[in-house]
Amino acid sequence: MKIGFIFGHQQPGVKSWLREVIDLLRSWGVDVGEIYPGRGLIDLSKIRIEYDLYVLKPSDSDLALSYAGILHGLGARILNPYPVSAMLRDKVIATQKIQRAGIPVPHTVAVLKEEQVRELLDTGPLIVKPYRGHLGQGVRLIRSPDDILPLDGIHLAQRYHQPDGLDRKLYSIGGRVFGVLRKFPAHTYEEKMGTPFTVEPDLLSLVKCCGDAFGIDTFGVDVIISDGKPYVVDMSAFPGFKGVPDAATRIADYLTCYLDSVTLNPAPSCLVQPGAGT
Amino acid sequence: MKAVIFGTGRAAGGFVAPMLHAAGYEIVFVARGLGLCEHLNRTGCIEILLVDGPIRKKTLIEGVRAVEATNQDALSRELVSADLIATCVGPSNLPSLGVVIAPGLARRKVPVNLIAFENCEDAGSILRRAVAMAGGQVKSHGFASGLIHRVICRRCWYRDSDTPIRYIADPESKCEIEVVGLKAPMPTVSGMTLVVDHIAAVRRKFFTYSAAHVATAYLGHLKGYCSIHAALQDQEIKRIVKTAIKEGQQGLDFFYGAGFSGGKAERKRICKRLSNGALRDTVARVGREPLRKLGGQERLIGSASLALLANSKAKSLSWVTAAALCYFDPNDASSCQLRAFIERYGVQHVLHIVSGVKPDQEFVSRTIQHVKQLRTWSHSSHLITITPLLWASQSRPTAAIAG
Repeated sequence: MKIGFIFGHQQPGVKSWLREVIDLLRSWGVDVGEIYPGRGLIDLSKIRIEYDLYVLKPSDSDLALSYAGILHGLGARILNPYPVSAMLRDKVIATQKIQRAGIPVPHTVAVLKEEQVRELLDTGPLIVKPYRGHLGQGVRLIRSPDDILPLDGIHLAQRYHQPDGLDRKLYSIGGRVFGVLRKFPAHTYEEKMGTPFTVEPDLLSLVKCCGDAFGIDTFGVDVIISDGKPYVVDMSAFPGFKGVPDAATRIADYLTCYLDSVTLNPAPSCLVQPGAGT
Repeated sequence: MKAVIFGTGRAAGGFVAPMLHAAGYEIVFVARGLGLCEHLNRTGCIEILLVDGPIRKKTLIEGVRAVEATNQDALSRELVSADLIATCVGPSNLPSLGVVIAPGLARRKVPVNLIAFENCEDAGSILRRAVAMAGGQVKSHGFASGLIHRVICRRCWYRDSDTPIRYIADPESKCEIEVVGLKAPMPTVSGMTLVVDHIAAVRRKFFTYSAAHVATAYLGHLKGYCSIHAALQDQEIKRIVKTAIKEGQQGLDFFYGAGFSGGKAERKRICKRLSNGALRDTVARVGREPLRKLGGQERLIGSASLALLANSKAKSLSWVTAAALCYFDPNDASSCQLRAFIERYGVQHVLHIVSGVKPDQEFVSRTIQHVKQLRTWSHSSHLITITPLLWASQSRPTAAIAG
């Protein structure tokens, strides 16, 4: 069993959760490869499928995404498939797709110029974020024209809804949903880890709808509740799962079981018999 | 030397055949089904893959043959010339072997030992009775029970190919044979330990390793894990599993003498074995058939009963029993039946009927309490923490479960 992780430039740190996933998988006998397309030269003619499963770690590296795209074209099995990862990387496309699936999102407009933001401000405060943003970078709350900074490229301007409480970070790992309450913006380690909570039935079905909209079962969704109504404000294909207890173990567990289900599941002539007796 | 092995399942191919082959026996399988028999004769070998984390050891057992179980003439010929007969067919299939074995034994001029490698306390006696009832000669032959400790989690058979049947297992090589039933000459097989009290050996395995195995599965299921090794990676599950083994060990040591259960070192060894991720052992495989596994002599209730005798409260075993009572897998008929029983009759009654536990015991009331706490659990939800109970998501409560 071989799993390849596609990273941007940065190697996961010794204490990072993804390093924990990789170490766990290796201790379970999985052959794990770490692929850094951003390092060194990539001979496009030499890219081959070398792993049973790939996991694309979304980052700010477009090269990693392109690399995943090439593998996708070759027929590789990618946990967070290239088309979905590419769509979710582009918040304009992702937001529109979420909206079209009937999932509540704040009123959203794609903007290029400061004047457009100023115009939208007339009807209330906004959240402005870069359309290919990552890890909350560049997200700004605009309450007055004084808050507007020069825009560098395409941004999304979303109607700001005053949250009733903390943000809801919702994660799905292989269809199993976890919720974490988190302050925004989070500064301390404790704030970043948040507090696990029991996801209510309405939020649960909202998460499932998000997954169905993109055809994935491992992802993260950011939700705010305003006036008792939930709004999806962001979605990512393979987030950090921060605050989910035992997230690394759960991801490693899911990856091996997923791969077992697709590789060990017998061809018609093969009978894999796990047997009943223990 | 020749060994005839009834069965081609995981225990037969993944442990008994390689053990006997290593001791110099030629292996003849008695297979059920012509396809399997033909495949074994065509390939002439089986493959054993022993895995322990990243370490893998592949062994090819060559020169194996097979006869079809319904081919009585061929089977009798093999039995007449066998130096050892082994069965690995599952305890429930043992009685049906009597009529198959009796004719072959009747034609033998010299005694032979028959070892029933089944996961139960009195397999050797069951086999002996089955042969006797089929009119077979049993007095001159040895009938003994054998206990395998290896976990063989998978058998892969590529039906139409020339690829040997592959058995995936852990490297555990411990095997205990009941000495009482054997006749001279005793089989000398490396790795085989002769034991006087086979029931004690079975209980030691059931109430330590097997209890830990199912405990990990049932708690893992509650917390939404797919595999055993991942579930045991969860520190909360590991703590409960370790305590459950300890409770079982208290009972064993009380009953069979101090040190019998292996103590802390054995707990550590068991957890290490269960953490072997290369086995890809799943919660669904280990957890299946909860009705059987909740039996009075079985790994959980049997262990708890002995622990209670040793004045242990068996608190962790109570949690695990509650988790077992809540286990539900729509693909497992036994768990569906268990759920239906509980909904209809209540936990207390089910524990009494299925497990034979007296309702007035504190263990029962504690278990019922835990089941009530878990009653909101449904197939679509799972726990983030067991203490305190924190659900990952809210779901509609299942039908109220009566005490």
